[in-house]
Amino acid sequence: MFGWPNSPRYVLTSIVLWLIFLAAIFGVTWGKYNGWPDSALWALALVPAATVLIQTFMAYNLISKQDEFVRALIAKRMLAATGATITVVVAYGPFQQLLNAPEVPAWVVYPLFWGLFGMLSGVIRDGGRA
Amino acid sequence: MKSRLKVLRAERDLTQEQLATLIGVSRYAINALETERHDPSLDLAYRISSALSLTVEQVFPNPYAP
Repeated sequence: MFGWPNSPRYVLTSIVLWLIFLAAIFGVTWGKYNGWPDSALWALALVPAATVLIQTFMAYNLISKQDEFVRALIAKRMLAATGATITVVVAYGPFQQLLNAPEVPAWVVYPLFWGLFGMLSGVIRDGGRA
Repeated sequence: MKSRLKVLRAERDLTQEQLATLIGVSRYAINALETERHDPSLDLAYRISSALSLTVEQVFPNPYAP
């Protein structure tokens, strides 16, 4: 991806974290319908948030080590993706709350954010400009 | 910001990658400067001009010059 730091270690760890994230979501779902003890479900339910926290920390560290152009570019993309994600969530809220739209689990926000980040990365290609 | 970086780099037979390595930034940064998608900080402007043995204004003409 243009402007994203070349770090095989980051990419590999990210893939592993995504797999753990998805496995935990499916694990909790499967466990709930197969009578797993509550304590196990509670522990497993915290795993997706832990992967998000680790990913955030890793991305922050990686970006901090980049040059000013890459930092500015990624900061702009992150800001745009955050705004787009919040817009989608806020837009969907009233439909779900009052107009019988299907309930969507909150964890969907995370893949939504990265999906939007990827899409916006194709559009936002300039760094800091006066 | 306008820059003469592409011409000056080519005159010295440097690739974007080589110049980037020389001043410790990514090739993306050099590309963005040459295509006017990024305005350099003062620090970066000084680093580039030093690497090319020029003054900052010879690389990045002052747009506010009278």
